[in-house]
Amino acid sequence: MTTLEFTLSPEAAIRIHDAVSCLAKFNENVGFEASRDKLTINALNSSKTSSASFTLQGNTFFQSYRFASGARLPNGAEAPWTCSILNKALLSIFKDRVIVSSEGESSVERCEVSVQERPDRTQCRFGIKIFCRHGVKKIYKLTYEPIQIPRPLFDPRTCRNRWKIAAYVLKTFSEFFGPRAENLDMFHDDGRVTFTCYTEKIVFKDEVLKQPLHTAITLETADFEEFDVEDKVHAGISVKDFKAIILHAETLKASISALYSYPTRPMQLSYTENGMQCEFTLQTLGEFRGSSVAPASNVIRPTLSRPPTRQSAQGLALQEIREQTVNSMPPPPQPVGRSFSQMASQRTTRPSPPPPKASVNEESLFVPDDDEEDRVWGARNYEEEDEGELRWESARSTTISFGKLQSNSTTTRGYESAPQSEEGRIAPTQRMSQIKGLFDD
Amino acid sequence: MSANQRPMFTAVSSSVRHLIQILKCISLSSKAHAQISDIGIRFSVQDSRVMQGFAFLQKELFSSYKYAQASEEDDHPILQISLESLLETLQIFGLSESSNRWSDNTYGGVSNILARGDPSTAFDSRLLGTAGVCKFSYARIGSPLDIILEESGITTTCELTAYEPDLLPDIPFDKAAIIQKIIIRSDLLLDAINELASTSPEKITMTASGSGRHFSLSSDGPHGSASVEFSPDPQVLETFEVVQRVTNTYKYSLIKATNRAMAMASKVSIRVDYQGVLSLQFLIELDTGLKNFIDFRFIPYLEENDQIGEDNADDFED
Repeated sequence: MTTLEFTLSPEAAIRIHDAVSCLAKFNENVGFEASRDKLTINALNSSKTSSASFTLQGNTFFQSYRFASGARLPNGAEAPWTCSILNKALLSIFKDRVIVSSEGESSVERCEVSVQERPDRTQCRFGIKIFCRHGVKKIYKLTYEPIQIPRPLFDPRTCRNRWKIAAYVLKTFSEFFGPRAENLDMFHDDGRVTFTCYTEKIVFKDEVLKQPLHTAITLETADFEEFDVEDKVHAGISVKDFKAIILHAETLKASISALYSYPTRPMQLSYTENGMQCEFTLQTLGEFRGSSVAPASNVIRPTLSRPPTRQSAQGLALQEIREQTVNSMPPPPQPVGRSFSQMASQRTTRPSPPPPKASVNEESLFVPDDDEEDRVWGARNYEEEDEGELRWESARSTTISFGKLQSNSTTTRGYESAPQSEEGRIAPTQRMSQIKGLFDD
Repeated sequence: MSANQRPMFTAVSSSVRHLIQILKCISLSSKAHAQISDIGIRFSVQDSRVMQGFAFLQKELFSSYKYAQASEEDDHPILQISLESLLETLQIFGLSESSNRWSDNTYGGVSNILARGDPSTAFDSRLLGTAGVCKFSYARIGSPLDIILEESGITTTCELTAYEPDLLPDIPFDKAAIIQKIIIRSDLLLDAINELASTSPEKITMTASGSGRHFSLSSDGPHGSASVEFSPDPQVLETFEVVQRVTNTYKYSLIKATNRAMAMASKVSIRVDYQGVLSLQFLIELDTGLKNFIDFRFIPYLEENDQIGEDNADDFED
């Protein structure tokens, strides 16, 4: 029998609400993962390019916390318990409390959560009891779904770029970003950091599907609490994710730390406050530069008005699929949804992006499967990880890697029309946002 | 004949706001029945024949109230009128009280007042809501209900067609066989009903049992179930008269439809008779010190359905 019980103070209940409403911007479901001393709630977006997770420390965040697992891992340790709950259901439970508390008094006195999962019970529920003033007790029993929670792989050791800045600074300037802007590019050059928020023009036949838009904001590195970033390194992420993160960080009045290496590798934004460790792993867009640390000069755009994010967003998935490959897993299956890429490339009339650099040190792209390292980074410590779990997106077209493309003799019209580099490589595909654009418009 | 000269019923009110507030609480359907008697006007509305709402405008709400019964034998007249139109008519005042709908309240209102050559009105009757006078008049059976509204020299006359009443019997509620009577603060009930909305429920189950003064509301939805239990504390359950365990299920959307009354009222009496018919009686304390009651009656789901509610209720208690 698996038992999870914890008690929340009114303040913690409000923080749960904030976290859940932040997760709502990533996925419609919230994943819960309970282990002996902490509870993680997380969400992975549908294109699997960004993952948000909040790790709540059992002894500091909760008034009381108890977890007893009914399952054991092969090594004898307690298996974490995972489930998924509809975000909407959680939000409606934790909804009004914030409004009440903003008036100076909270009507919630205590919040108890308990889950008892027994194989012999036909009905198991995620039970939430909220004790309010006047002795009113509100009891919710939510249905949940046992799932395996995928986690992004992120190795901080490969990240040479780091900065830390107060969330309100980011919040202030993000208000200037256009509402329709999709991507955000960060670029450091000569003591100044430029955040460029942009949408690229997309034309389909004679019709302009998306108007280009650029907003650039420059900060001095002195505005940062910590700053250690190589010159001329770009990092591109989705504005929507970025805004969701800083909005949440701002409510905690936290300072956001960023860790990243180079384009196409994941970036991690994190902050810790009141026993709540918030981590966001985002796939960055950008030039595919192999293992080069100092970007080659030919990759740098002449001006910032054209952020160098031409390459397809590979998604976190790519990284994990690659890992499978490295671990002598079979190569990813044929992309099923290639027609998406094909359509998207047909409608993109802008010049084809420059070809990727020739040799890629494949090994350097993969995060070593190192449990110890995971443990250091806390949130994604999934002891029971096995390769099989990573199969969740093998069927996605976007998981195709460049290496795979190269060896893949299948060509599409889109690829044929793309100029090829001297090595005969196929030009990069388009960005994820464009693929989505097919349906958004 | 004097009956020809003098209308059967006339009433004058200078606080239309209260009439609007009360009538809005029962605006469940477009048509309402109004029964005029010598103590006031009783409005009734019904929804799907399983819910009825009653509002009573007692004669104390009017500054003048004259009703002359045609003859002793006759029943009090019942007329069916359009509640929507009645409310709209009364709100002609409401609009001009708070300046003007078509001009911006803050800026345009001033020019509006100035245009009428009455610069002193910014702080007086208009804001106090006592500016206008409203006169109801019903000449005789078959004639329309006349409403004359007067405000700062402008007179509006409305004639509301009175239809033949659809004489539907009231939902029977046997006051002699009440098996549950609970009085709580109305805002607690409102909060509980809103809380249950999180499960997007179709039905709501009300459970009360005498042992331990247990009273709870619960609902089921696609994402799970929710239930709100009230403390047995006498400060919360002010009156608690329950002999046996009572469980009944009602349609959630109908109960929810009373939320305007719930929000306005200070207390609510929740009564259930032996058939399971629920009566919600809201006590509304008007700022003039008058007390007004708004009643709702609901027919429960049949026993077979109750069984489901019963199971859930058991589940909540463990």
